[in-house]
Amino acid sequence: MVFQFLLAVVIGAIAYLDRTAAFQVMLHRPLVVATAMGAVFGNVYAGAQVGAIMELLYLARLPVGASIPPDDTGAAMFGGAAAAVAASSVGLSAGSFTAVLLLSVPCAELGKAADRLVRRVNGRIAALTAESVDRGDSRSVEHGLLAGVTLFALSGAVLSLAFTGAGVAVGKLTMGMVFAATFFYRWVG
Amino acid sequence: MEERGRTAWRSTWRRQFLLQGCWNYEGMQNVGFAYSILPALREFYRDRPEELTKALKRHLEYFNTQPSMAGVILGAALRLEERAAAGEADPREIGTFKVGLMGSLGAIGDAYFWGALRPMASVAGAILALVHPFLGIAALLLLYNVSHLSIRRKGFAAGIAGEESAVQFLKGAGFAGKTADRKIVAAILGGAYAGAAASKAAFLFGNGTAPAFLFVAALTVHLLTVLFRKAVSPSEILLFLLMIGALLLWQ
Repeated sequence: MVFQFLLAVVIGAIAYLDRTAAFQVMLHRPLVVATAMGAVFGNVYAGAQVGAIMELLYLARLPVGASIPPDDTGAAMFGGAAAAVAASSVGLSAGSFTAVLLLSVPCAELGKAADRLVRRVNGRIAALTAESVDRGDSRSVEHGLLAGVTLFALSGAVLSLAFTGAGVAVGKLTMGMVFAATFFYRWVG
Repeated sequence: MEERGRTAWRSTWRRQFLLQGCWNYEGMQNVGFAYSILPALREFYRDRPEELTKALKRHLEYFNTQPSMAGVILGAALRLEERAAAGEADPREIGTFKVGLMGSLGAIGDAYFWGALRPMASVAGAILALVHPFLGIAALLLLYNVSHLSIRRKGFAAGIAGEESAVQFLKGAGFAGKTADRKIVAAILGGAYAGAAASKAAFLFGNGTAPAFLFVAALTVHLLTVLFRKAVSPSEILLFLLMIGALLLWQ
Protein backbone atom coordinates (compact mmCIF):
# COMPACT_ATOMS: atom_id res chain seq x y z
CA MET A 1 0.00 0.00 0.00
CA VAL A 2 2.90 2.40 0.75
CA PHE A 3 4.32 1.83 -2.73
CA GLN A 4 0.88 2.47 -4.25
CA PHE A 5 0.53 5.78 -2.42
CA LEU A 6 4.07 6.76 -3.40
CA LEU A 7 3.26 6.06 -7.04
CA ALA A 8 -0.01 8.01 -6.72
CA VAL A 9 1.85 11.01 -5.28
CA VAL A 10 4.39 11.02 -8.12
CA ILE A 11 1.67 10.72 -10.79
CA GLY A 12 -0.38 13.36 -8.97
CA ALA A 13 2.51 15.84 -8.80
CA ILE A 14 3.13 15.43 -12.56
CA ALA A 15 -0.59 15.82 -13.32
CA TYR A 16 -0.85 18.95 -11.15
CA LEU A 17 2.22 20.44 -12.85
CA ASP A 18 0.65 19.79 -16.24
CA ARG A 19 -2.54 21.47 -15.04
CA THR A 20 -1.03 24.97 -14.76
CA ALA A 21 2.72 25.28 -14.38
CA ALA A 22 4.15 23.13 -17.17
CA PHE A 23 3.38 21.72 -20.63
CA GLN A 24 -0.46 21.62 -20.60
CA VAL A 25 -0.45 18.43 -22.67
CA MET A 26 -3.66 17.22 -20.94
CA LEU A 27 -2.02 14.68 -18.61
CA HIS A 28 -4.14 16.32 -15.87
CA ARG A 29 -7.53 15.50 -17.43
CA PRO A 30 -9.87 13.38 -15.28
CA LEU A 31 -9.96 10.53 -17.80
CA VAL A 32 -6.16 10.19 -17.66
CA VAL A 33 -5.80 10.73 -13.91
CA ALA A 34 -8.72 8.55 -12.76
CA THR A 35 -7.63 5.72 -15.06
CA ALA A 36 -4.07 5.96 -13.74
CA MET A 37 -5.35 5.90 -10.15
CA GLY A 38 -7.53 2.92 -11.05
CA ALA A 39 -4.44 1.15 -12.38
CA VAL A 40 -2.41 2.02 -9.26
CA PHE A 41 -5.11 0.82 -6.85
CA GLY A 42 -6.03 -2.35 -8.72
CA ASN A 43 -8.95 -1.74 -11.09
CA VAL A 44 -8.19 0.25 -14.21
CA TYR A 45 -11.70 -0.20 -15.68
CA ALA A 46 -13.46 1.20 -12.60
CA GLY A 47 -11.10 4.20 -12.63
CA ALA A 48 -11.80 4.84 -16.32
CA GLN A 49 -15.54 4.52 -15.76
CA VAL A 50 -15.51 7.34 -13.19
CA GLY A 51 -12.88 9.31 -15.14
CA ALA A 52 -14.94 9.37 -18.36
CA ILE A 53 -17.97 10.83 -16.59
CA MET A 54 -15.86 13.41 -14.72
CA GLU A 55 -14.12 14.31 -17.98
CA LEU A 56 -17.45 15.29 -19.51
CA LEU A 57 -18.85 16.94 -16.38
CA TYR A 58 -15.90 19.27 -15.90
CA LEU A 59 -15.50 20.21 -19.58
CA ALA A 60 -17.59 23.32 -19.32
CA ARG A 61 -15.42 25.14 -16.77
CA LEU A 62 -12.58 26.86 -18.57
CA PRO A 63 -9.39 28.37 -17.07
CA VAL A 64 -9.97 31.72 -18.77
CA GLY A 65 -8.01 34.75 -17.55
CA ALA A 66 -7.75 34.83 -13.77
CA SER A 67 -10.68 32.46 -13.17
CA ILE A 68 -9.83 29.16 -11.54
CA PRO A 69 -12.11 26.22 -12.37
CA PRO A 70 -12.91 23.47 -9.81
CA ASP A 71 -9.99 21.07 -9.38
CA ASP A 72 -11.08 18.23 -11.67
CA THR A 73 -7.63 16.63 -11.33
CA GLY A 74 -8.09 16.28 -7.54
CA ALA A 75 -11.65 15.02 -8.00
CA ALA A 76 -10.30 12.40 -10.41
CA MET A 77 -7.51 11.36 -8.00
CA PHE A 78 -10.14 10.75 -5.34
CA GLY A 79 -12.65 9.18 -7.75
CA GLY A 80 -10.17 6.84 -9.44
CA ALA A 81 -8.75 5.53 -6.14
CA ALA A 82 -12.20 5.15 -4.52
CA ALA A 83 -13.69 3.43 -7.58
CA ALA A 84 -10.79 0.96 -7.83
CA VAL A 85 -11.11 -0.01 -4.16
CA ALA A 86 -14.94 -0.07 -4.13
CA ALA A 87 -15.25 -2.15 -7.32
CA SER A 88 -15.83 -5.87 -6.93
CA SER A 89 -14.93 -8.54 -9.50
CA VAL A 90 -18.11 -7.69 -11.48
CA GLY A 91 -17.34 -3.97 -11.52
CA LEU A 92 -18.59 -0.87 -9.75
CA SER A 93 -22.17 -0.95 -8.44
CA ALA A 94 -24.51 1.92 -9.35
CA GLY A 95 -24.68 3.08 -5.73
CA SER A 96 -20.90 3.11 -5.25
CA PHE A 97 -20.47 4.87 -8.60
CA THR A 98 -22.89 7.64 -7.63
CA ALA A 99 -21.41 7.98 -4.14
CA VAL A 100 -17.85 8.26 -5.50
CA LEU A 101 -18.91 10.81 -8.09
CA LEU A 102 -20.74 12.99 -5.61
CA LEU A 103 -18.14 12.78 -2.83
CA SER A 104 -15.52 14.02 -5.29
CA VAL A 105 -17.15 17.48 -5.19
CA PRO A 106 -15.50 18.60 -1.91
CA CYS A 107 -12.12 17.48 -3.32
CA ALA A 108 -12.64 19.68 -6.41
CA GLU A 109 -13.45 22.67 -4.21
CA LEU A 110 -10.57 22.01 -1.79
CA GLY A 111 -8.14 21.72 -4.70
CA LYS A 112 -9.41 25.01 -6.09
CA ALA A 113 -8.77 26.74 -2.73
CA ALA A 114 -5.23 25.27 -2.61
CA ASP A 115 -4.62 26.49 -6.18
CA ARG A 116 -5.64 30.03 -5.15
CA LEU A 117 -3.25 29.91 -2.19
CA VAL A 118 -0.32 28.77 -4.37
CA ARG A 119 -0.99 31.58 -6.83
CA ARG A 120 -1.06 34.12 -4.01
CA VAL A 121 2.32 32.86 -2.70
CA ASN A 122 3.59 33.06 -6.28
CA GLY A 123 2.69 36.76 -6.21
CA ARG A 124 5.21 37.22 -3.40
CA ILE A 125 7.82 35.19 -5.33
CA ALA A 126 7.23 37.36 -8.42
CA ALA A 127 7.63 40.55 -6.35
CA LEU A 128 10.92 39.28 -4.85
CA THR A 129 12.10 38.31 -8.35
CA ALA A 130 11.39 41.81 -9.65
CA GLU A 131 13.29 43.36 -6.72
CA SER A 132 16.32 41.14 -7.42
CA VAL A 133 16.24 42.00 -11.13
CA ASP A 134 16.24 45.69 -10.14
CA ARG A 135 19.51 45.00 -8.35
CA GLY A 136 20.90 43.49 -11.57
CA ASP A 137 20.55 39.80 -10.72
CA SER A 138 19.18 38.17 -13.89
CA ARG A 139 19.45 34.65 -12.44
CA SER A 140 16.72 35.49 -9.94
CA VAL A 141 14.20 35.06 -12.79
CA GLU A 142 15.28 31.41 -13.11
CA HIS A 143 15.19 30.95 -9.34
CA GLY A 144 11.77 32.59 -9.10
CA LEU A 145 10.32 30.35 -11.77
CA LEU A 146 11.87 27.27 -10.18
CA ALA A 147 10.34 28.27 -6.84
CA GLY A 148 6.91 28.67 -8.47
CA VAL A 149 7.12 25.30 -10.25
CA THR A 150 8.30 23.62 -7.02
CA LEU A 151 5.39 25.14 -5.13
CA PHE A 152 2.88 23.86 -7.71
CA ALA A 153 4.49 20.39 -7.60
CA LEU A 154 4.59 20.25 -3.77
CA SER A 155 1.00 21.39 -3.47
CA GLY A 156 0.02 18.78 -6.08
CA ALA A 157 1.87 16.03 -4.20
CA VAL A 158 0.22 16.89 -0.88
CA LEU A 159 -3.25 17.12 -2.47
CA SER A 160 -2.67 13.82 -4.29
CA LEU A 161 -1.79 12.07 -1.03
CA ALA A 162 -4.83 13.54 0.74
CA PHE A 163 -7.27 12.78 -2.09
CA THR A 164 -6.09 9.24 -2.79
CA GLY A 165 -6.06 8.52 0.96
CA ALA A 166 -9.63 9.77 1.23
CA GLY A 167 -10.52 7.82 -1.92
CA VAL A 168 -9.18 4.54 -0.55
CA ALA A 169 -10.99 5.10 2.79
CA VAL A 170 -14.29 5.92 1.07
CA GLY A 171 -13.86 2.98 -1.32
CA LYS A 172 -13.38 0.55 1.58
CA LEU A 173 -16.30 2.07 3.46
CA THR A 174 -18.57 1.85 0.39
CA MET A 175 -17.56 -1.75 -0.22
CA GLY A 176 -18.18 -2.56 3.48
CA MET A 177 -21.62 -0.98 3.28
CA VAL A 178 -22.49 -2.97 0.15
CA PHE A 179 -21.49 -6.22 1.93
CA ALA A 180 -23.42 -5.22 5.06
CA ALA A 181 -26.53 -4.41 2.99
CA THR A 182 -26.25 -7.76 1.16
CA PHE A 183 -26.03 -9.73 4.44
CA PHE A 184 -28.85 -7.66 5.96
CA TYR A 185 -31.22 -8.35 3.06
CA ARG A 186 -30.33 -12.06 3.09
CA TRP A 187 -30.92 -12.19 6.83
CA VAL A 188 -34.27 -10.31 6.53
CA GLY A 189 -35.31 -12.36 3.48
CA MET B 1 27.42 34.29 -33.43
CA GLU B 2 24.66 32.82 -35.63
CA GLU B 3 24.95 29.41 -33.93
CA ARG B 4 24.76 31.02 -30.48
CA GLY B 5 21.65 32.92 -31.59
CA ARG B 6 20.00 29.70 -32.71
CA THR B 7 20.86 28.03 -29.41
CA ALA B 8 19.13 30.93 -27.62
CA TRP B 9 16.05 30.51 -29.87
CA ARG B 10 15.92 26.82 -29.08
CA SER B 11 16.18 27.54 -25.34
CA THR B 12 13.33 30.05 -25.62
CA TRP B 13 11.23 27.48 -27.54
CA ARG B 14 11.78 24.88 -24.82
CA ARG B 15 11.25 27.30 -21.95
CA GLN B 16 7.84 28.47 -23.26
CA PHE B 17 6.40 25.23 -21.85
CA LEU B 18 7.00 26.70 -18.37
CA LEU B 19 5.29 30.01 -19.15
CA GLN B 20 2.84 29.54 -16.27
CA GLY B 21 5.43 28.16 -13.82
CA CYS B 22 5.08 31.16 -11.50
CA TRP B 23 1.50 32.20 -12.37
CA ASN B 24 0.36 34.91 -9.96
CA TYR B 25 -2.57 37.31 -9.67
CA GLU B 26 -0.52 40.49 -10.07
CA GLY B 27 1.64 39.85 -13.12
CA MET B 28 0.06 36.51 -14.21
CA GLN B 29 2.56 34.95 -16.69
CA ASN B 30 5.17 37.73 -16.32
CA VAL B 31 7.90 35.65 -14.59
CA GLY B 32 7.34 32.80 -17.08
CA PHE B 33 7.68 35.18 -20.04
CA ALA B 34 10.88 36.72 -18.67
CA TYR B 35 12.25 33.23 -17.95
CA SER B 36 11.47 32.06 -21.50
CA ILE B 37 13.11 34.98 -23.27
CA LEU B 38 16.09 35.24 -20.87
CA PRO B 39 18.58 33.08 -22.89
CA ALA B 40 18.00 35.28 -25.94
CA LEU B 41 18.35 38.49 -23.91
CA ARG B 42 21.65 37.25 -22.46
CA GLU B 43 22.87 36.66 -25.98
CA PHE B 44 21.68 40.04 -27.36
CA TYR B 45 22.94 42.09 -24.38
CA ARG B 46 26.21 40.27 -23.80
CA ASP B 47 28.67 42.54 -21.91
CA ARG B 48 25.85 45.11 -21.37
CA PRO B 49 24.43 44.16 -17.94
CA GLU B 50 22.50 47.41 -17.43
CA GLU B 51 20.64 46.99 -20.72
CA LEU B 52 19.97 43.35 -19.87
CA THR B 53 18.36 44.47 -16.60
CA LYS B 54 16.22 47.04 -18.45
CA ALA B 55 15.14 44.41 -20.98
CA LEU B 56 14.27 41.92 -18.23
CA LYS B 57 12.20 44.54 -16.43
CA ARG B 58 10.27 45.13 -19.68
CA HIS B 59 9.33 41.46 -19.69
CA LEU B 60 8.42 41.35 -15.99
CA GLU B 61 5.47 43.65 -16.75
CA TYR B 62 1.96 42.16 -16.63
CA PHE B 63 1.47 39.49 -19.28
CA ASN B 64 -1.36 37.05 -19.84
CA THR B 65 -2.51 35.09 -22.86
CA GLN B 66 -3.58 31.55 -23.74
CA PRO B 67 -0.38 29.57 -22.97
CA SER B 68 -0.42 27.54 -26.18
CA MET B 69 -0.59 30.74 -28.25
CA ALA B 70 2.20 32.53 -26.37
CA GLY B 71 4.84 31.20 -28.78
CA VAL B 72 3.73 33.73 -31.40
CA ILE B 73 4.35 36.67 -29.05
CA LEU B 74 7.55 35.13 -27.66
CA GLY B 75 9.01 34.65 -31.13
CA ALA B 76 8.10 38.18 -32.25
CA ALA B 77 9.31 39.74 -28.96
CA LEU B 78 12.59 37.90 -29.37
CA ARG B 79 13.02 39.30 -32.86
CA LEU B 80 12.12 42.82 -31.68
CA GLU B 81 14.61 42.56 -28.80
CA GLU B 82 17.32 41.55 -31.29
CA ARG B 83 16.59 44.67 -33.32
CA ALA B 84 16.41 46.87 -30.22
CA ALA B 85 19.78 45.52 -29.02
CA ALA B 86 21.26 46.39 -32.41
CA GLY B 87 19.82 49.91 -32.12
CA GLU B 88 17.42 49.33 -35.04
CA ALA B 89 14.18 49.56 -33.06
CA ASP B 90 12.71 51.45 -30.13
CA PRO B 91 12.49 49.15 -27.06
CA ARG B 92 9.06 50.68 -26.22
CA GLU B 93 7.69 49.00 -29.35
CA ILE B 94 8.14 45.62 -27.63
CA GLY B 95 5.75 46.37 -24.79
CA THR B 96 3.21 47.92 -27.15
CA PHE B 97 3.37 44.87 -29.41
CA LYS B 98 2.95 42.42 -26.51
CA VAL B 99 0.01 44.29 -24.99
CA GLY B 100 -1.61 44.72 -28.40
CA LEU B 101 -1.48 41.04 -29.25
CA MET B 102 -1.92 39.19 -25.93
CA GLY B 103 -5.64 40.01 -25.55
CA SER B 104 -6.70 38.95 -29.00
CA LEU B 105 -4.46 35.85 -28.91
CA GLY B 106 -5.93 34.95 -25.53
CA ALA B 107 -9.47 35.23 -26.85
CA ILE B 108 -8.71 33.21 -30.00
CA GLY B 109 -6.74 30.61 -28.03
CA ASP B 110 -9.33 30.20 -25.28
CA ALA B 111 -12.11 29.71 -27.84
CA TYR B 112 -10.07 27.23 -29.87
CA PHE B 113 -8.15 25.22 -27.24
CA TRP B 114 -10.48 25.27 -24.24
CA GLY B 115 -13.80 25.75 -26.02
CA ALA B 116 -13.43 23.46 -29.04
CA LEU B 117 -10.30 21.27 -29.27
CA ARG B 118 -10.31 20.02 -25.68
CA PRO B 119 -14.05 19.13 -25.64
CA MET B 120 -13.61 17.26 -28.94
CA ALA B 121 -10.58 15.31 -27.67
CA SER B 122 -12.24 14.63 -24.31
CA VAL B 123 -15.47 13.24 -25.74
CA ALA B 124 -13.56 11.13 -28.27
CA GLY B 125 -11.46 9.82 -25.37
CA ALA B 126 -14.54 9.07 -23.27
CA ILE B 127 -16.14 7.11 -26.14
CA LEU B 128 -13.02 5.05 -26.85
CA ALA B 129 -12.56 4.43 -23.11
CA LEU B 130 -15.72 2.31 -23.40
CA VAL B 131 -13.68 -0.01 -25.64
CA HIS B 132 -10.51 0.11 -23.52
CA PRO B 133 -9.35 2.73 -20.98
CA PHE B 134 -5.88 3.11 -22.51
CA LEU B 135 -7.37 3.57 -25.99
CA GLY B 136 -9.45 6.44 -24.58
CA ILE B 137 -6.42 8.10 -23.03
CA ALA B 138 -4.38 7.68 -26.23
CA ALA B 139 -7.19 9.24 -28.30
CA LEU B 140 -7.53 12.22 -25.95
CA LEU B 141 -3.81 12.93 -25.80
CA LEU B 142 -3.20 12.43 -29.52
CA LEU B 143 -6.17 14.45 -30.75
CA TYR B 144 -5.31 17.37 -28.48
CA ASN B 145 -1.54 17.41 -28.77
CA VAL B 146 -1.15 16.97 -32.53
CA SER B 147 -2.93 20.28 -33.01
CA HIS B 148 -1.55 21.90 -29.83
CA LEU B 149 2.13 21.20 -30.51
CA SER B 150 1.81 22.02 -34.19
CA ILE B 151 0.27 25.44 -33.43
CA ARG B 152 2.95 26.13 -30.81
CA ARG B 153 5.71 25.31 -33.31
CA LYS B 154 4.20 27.20 -36.26
CA GLY B 155 3.30 30.18 -34.06
CA PHE B 156 6.81 30.46 -32.65
CA ALA B 157 8.34 30.16 -36.14
CA ALA B 158 5.98 32.86 -37.44
CA GLY B 159 6.90 35.12 -34.52
CA ILE B 160 10.62 34.62 -35.13
CA ALA B 161 10.07 35.63 -38.77
CA GLY B 162 8.84 39.05 -37.57
CA GLU B 163 5.75 40.92 -36.29
CA GLU B 164 4.10 41.05 -39.72
CA SER B 165 4.56 37.34 -40.16
CA ALA B 166 3.03 36.74 -36.71
CA VAL B 167 -0.07 38.74 -37.61
CA GLN B 168 -0.17 36.96 -40.99
CA PHE B 169 -0.03 33.60 -39.19
CA LEU B 170 -3.07 34.52 -37.12
CA LYS B 171 -4.98 35.55 -40.23
CA GLY B 172 -3.95 32.50 -42.25
CA ALA B 173 -4.39 29.83 -39.57
CA GLY B 174 -8.20 30.02 -39.86
CA PHE B 175 -8.90 29.68 -36.14
CA ALA B 176 -12.55 30.78 -36.46
CA GLY B 177 -13.35 27.99 -38.93
CA LYS B 178 -11.35 25.39 -37.01
CA THR B 179 -13.08 26.37 -33.74
CA ALA B 180 -16.55 26.03 -35.28
CA ASP B 181 -15.68 22.66 -36.89
CA ARG B 182 -14.31 21.15 -33.70
CA LYS B 183 -17.28 22.38 -31.68
CA ILE B 184 -19.63 20.61 -34.08
CA VAL B 185 -17.56 17.41 -33.93
CA ALA B 186 -17.54 17.60 -30.10
CA ALA B 187 -21.35 18.02 -30.02
CA ILE B 188 -21.87 15.05 -32.37
CA LEU B 189 -19.46 12.89 -30.37
CA GLY B 190 -21.20 13.96 -27.13
CA GLY B 191 -24.51 12.73 -28.52
CA ALA B 192 -22.85 9.50 -29.66
CA TYR B 193 -21.39 9.00 -26.16
CA ALA B 194 -24.81 9.47 -24.53
CA GLY B 195 -26.28 6.96 -26.97
CA ALA B 196 -23.49 4.43 -26.40
CA ALA B 197 -23.71 4.76 -22.59
CA ALA B 198 -27.53 4.40 -22.67
CA SER B 199 -27.29 1.33 -24.94
CA LYS B 200 -24.74 -0.23 -22.58
CA ALA B 201 -27.05 0.37 -19.59
CA ALA B 202 -30.06 -1.01 -21.50
CA PHE B 203 -28.03 -4.14 -22.38
CA LEU B 204 -27.17 -4.65 -18.70
CA PHE B 205 -30.76 -4.11 -17.49
CA GLY B 206 -32.35 -6.34 -20.15
CA ASN B 207 -34.76 -6.10 -23.08
CA GLY B 208 -37.39 -3.41 -23.33
CA THR B 209 -35.48 -0.78 -21.33
CA ALA B 210 -33.59 0.70 -24.29
CA PRO B 211 -36.15 3.43 -25.21
CA ALA B 212 -36.37 4.57 -21.56
CA PHE B 213 -32.56 4.74 -21.21
CA LEU B 214 -32.16 6.60 -24.52
CA PHE B 215 -34.86 9.06 -23.45
CA VAL B 216 -33.10 9.65 -20.10
CA ALA B 217 -29.75 10.07 -21.92
CA ALA B 218 -31.21 12.66 -24.31
CA LEU B 219 -32.87 14.48 -21.40
CA THR B 220 -29.62 14.49 -19.40
CA VAL B 221 -27.59 15.84 -22.34
CA HIS B 222 -30.17 18.60 -22.86
CA LEU B 223 -30.32 19.49 -19.15
CA LEU B 224 -26.53 19.61 -18.77
CA THR B 225 -26.20 21.70 -21.95
CA VAL B 226 -28.68 24.25 -20.59
CA LEU B 227 -26.96 24.36 -17.17
CA PHE B 228 -23.49 24.69 -18.67
CA ARG B 229 -24.68 27.46 -21.03
CA LYS B 230 -25.90 29.30 -17.93
CA ALA B 231 -22.36 28.85 -16.49
CA VAL B 232 -23.50 26.65 -13.59
CA SER B 233 -20.48 24.95 -12.03
CA PRO B 234 -20.23 21.13 -12.35
CA SER B 235 -19.62 21.09 -8.59
CA GLU B 236 -22.94 22.88 -8.03
CA ILE B 237 -24.74 20.38 -10.28
CA LEU B 238 -23.18 17.45 -8.41
CA LEU B 239 -23.99 19.02 -5.03
CA PHE B 240 -27.62 19.43 -6.14
CA LEU B 241 -27.69 15.73 -7.10
CA LEU B 242 -26.09 14.88 -3.74
CA MET B 243 -28.92 16.66 -1.92
CA ILE B 244 -31.58 14.88 -3.99
CA GLY B 245 -29.84 11.55 -3.35
CA ALA B 246 -29.69 12.23 0.41
CA LEU B 247 -33.39 13.16 0.46
CA LEU B 248 -34.33 9.98 -1.41
CA LEU B 249 -32.27 7.83 0.98
CA TRP B 250 -33.75 9.62 3.98
CA GLN B 251 -37.26 8.90 2.65
